[in-house]
Amino acid sequence: MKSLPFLTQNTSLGKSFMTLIRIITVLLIVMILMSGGTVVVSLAKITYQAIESIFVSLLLAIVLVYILNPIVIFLESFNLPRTLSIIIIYLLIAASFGALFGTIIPTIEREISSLQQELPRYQDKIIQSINGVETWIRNKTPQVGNLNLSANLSFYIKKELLGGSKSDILISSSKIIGSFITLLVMAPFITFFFLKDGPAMKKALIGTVPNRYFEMSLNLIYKINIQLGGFVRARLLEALCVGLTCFIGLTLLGVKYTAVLAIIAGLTNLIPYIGPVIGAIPALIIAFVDTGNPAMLLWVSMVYGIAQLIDMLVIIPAVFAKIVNMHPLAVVIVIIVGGQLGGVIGMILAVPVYSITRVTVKEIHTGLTSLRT
Amino acid sequence: MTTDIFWGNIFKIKSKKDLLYYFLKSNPMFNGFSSRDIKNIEKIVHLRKFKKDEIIFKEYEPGTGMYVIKTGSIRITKHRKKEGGVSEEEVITNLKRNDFFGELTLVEKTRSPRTASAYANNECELVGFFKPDLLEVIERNPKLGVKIILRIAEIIGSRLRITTASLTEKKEEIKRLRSLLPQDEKADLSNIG
Repeated sequence: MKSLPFLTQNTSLGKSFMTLIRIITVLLIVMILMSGGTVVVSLAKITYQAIESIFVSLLLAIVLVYILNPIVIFLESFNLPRTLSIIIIYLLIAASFGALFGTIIPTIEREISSLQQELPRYQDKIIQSINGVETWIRNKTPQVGNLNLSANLSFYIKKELLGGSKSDILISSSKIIGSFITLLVMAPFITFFFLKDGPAMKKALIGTVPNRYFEMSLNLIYKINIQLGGFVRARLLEALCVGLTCFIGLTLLGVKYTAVLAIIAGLTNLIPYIGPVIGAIPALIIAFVDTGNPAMLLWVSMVYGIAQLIDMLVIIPAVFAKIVNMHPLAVVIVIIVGGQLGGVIGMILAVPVYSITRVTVKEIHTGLTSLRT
Repeated sequence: MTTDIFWGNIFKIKSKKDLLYYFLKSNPMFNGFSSRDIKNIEKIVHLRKFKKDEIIFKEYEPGTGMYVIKTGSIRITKHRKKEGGVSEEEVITNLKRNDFFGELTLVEKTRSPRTASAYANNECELVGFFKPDLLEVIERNPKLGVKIILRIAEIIGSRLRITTASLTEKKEEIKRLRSLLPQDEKADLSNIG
């Protein structure tokens, strides 16, 4: 500790650091206790899972902080103490969740279990349709030979999507539910502390920067915060609008599992450009398999198209363009690079990482040029 | 011994905090602010330590905020062009405890260039108050934000008044000196401006 004097208990950073260590230790203990039924599993595996869970919870907590912080600031502007403001928001969220558990959550749960039961039927129908297409191609162009599309797809669905057997699906769903509960407990817990002590933590952290770079760093953190906060809020607003539009459109068309499909549409919309297409595929399959009517594909596509139009014509120009000042071509290139480097997550993170890097480089460049003069 | 460490630490931390609180409360910059306001300001300001002759900021570099001197003294310098185009740094003023400087950057466009340089004359402690923090105060506590901005405006206003008075005085002096000059030299001077 002697080599790192700023981490001692007497400094504010030291206190924040110790608090963080304490929180992580408590979370690790909670995680280990939560997986108490599987004591036989090696400690390393539990620790790995715990760290993985904490990492995901931390990421989710950061997103939540960016969503909730403006509301906390709004309440603080009425002279309410910060902690009380956070508690009020938590109570309101808990009340909203209570209402959701009574109405929307059971619907989603019902839809998920029904979808799980009907999954083999959808799978068979897709394979049948592909078989038909394959036969048609073979008849029209015999030189193409045997494509074996349906067999390949069937193997892929069984291996990658369904994990082999029905029992595997149940295990993976229980794992997902377990992780979901962990996230539900841990993320709000971390969010609370980030919201409460965030400003002090930020102040303590910036306090370690040498005098010469202090103002530049302070300004940089401020700019990054604004960019990142605006980005997270804009993306979530987009997801919400797309999800709502799809929910209304699909309900009007009478498509099954509207709630689940709307959530998928909203979430996949977080992936720029390709996301909306990925989000539309399940709805297209379900609508086609259930009705057998090709016209339904057009109608469902129209619903997703309208959702995208609202996104592109209303939300992006009004909210997004102000936050991320980027040329559309630059956005596409950055997303492709992000996809190559980190897959879907890379695509989601590409634009914010790029804009943060741009702000940082610009700020450092301004700082260094002025230092030279 | 344990008790000493325990109580000693508590009182040490408390007195440290109180020092900054009382310093801010007694400073003319925050004169008349309520205790609650001072406590809120204490949360956002940054206490920075500088060594002898260390640069606090340099002329023309982008500025983010102002500093109030808690301990020690600093000097404000400015580059002046001498004969032959050589630029030299000249000390404009020396500032001591409770003085503040750099407040213009709080109301100017973000990261406006500094109009002068500041160096520590000896080991000193400065309380930094920066624009991002001011913007945060305006959002979180608009009443306090308005109070701070009004105070900065008052300070800048009074400094502007002094500068205007000094400029008028100098102009009068130039006028008086001009009137003493012969007619042909007056014409030469008017060509210069």
